[in-house]
Amino acid sequence: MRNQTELRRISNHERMRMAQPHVRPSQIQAEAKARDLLLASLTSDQRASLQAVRWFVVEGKSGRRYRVHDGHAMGNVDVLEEGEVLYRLCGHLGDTSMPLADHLLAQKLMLEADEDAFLQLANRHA
Amino acid sequence: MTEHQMNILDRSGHTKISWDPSNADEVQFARGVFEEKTAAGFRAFMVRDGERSTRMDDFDPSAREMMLVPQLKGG
Repeated sequence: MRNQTELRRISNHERMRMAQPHVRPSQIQAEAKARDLLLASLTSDQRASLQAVRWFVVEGKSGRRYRVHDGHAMGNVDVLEEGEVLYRLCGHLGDTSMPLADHLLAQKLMLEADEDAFLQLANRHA
Repeated sequence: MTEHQMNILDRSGHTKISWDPSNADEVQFARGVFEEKTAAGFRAFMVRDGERSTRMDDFDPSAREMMLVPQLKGG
């Protein structure tokens, strides 16, 4: 049994490997690499939010705010108005075998810099 | 050397292409990759620390960091 000190020293890579023993090491490595890039691409507020509550908010050029949930790439974008969820959007990378963190980064970039295109391609859910 | 980079999202997480803007060969290689990917449907974004990212339609060798993202689809 590992103690707290040992657990703190465990890398993200090893942490993911322990949590998902059925996942190939190359997939775990890819996810860790993608996760590092995602975290480096977020603002400090977005990073703190993602790590605390597993979502972050992106503001589109229109001023509308979107909440991007971690954990899955489909139906994970909430369209917000005055803090309330109006509806959900599902828009993700066409290659679903790509790391989850890549999906989240792609959503963030699209909402921020190509909002209209994301709204056109995404499906709306209640 | 001032390193500029392009991160191409893919199944490995991402592939990084770096270039020195003062090195014509490196710039040409990076431009070629950019044009190949965008012709194949990738979207390009310029990323700057602390600022909103912006769409790029043309390769800019002076850009410090770019992200190239494969096509998205609705689900």
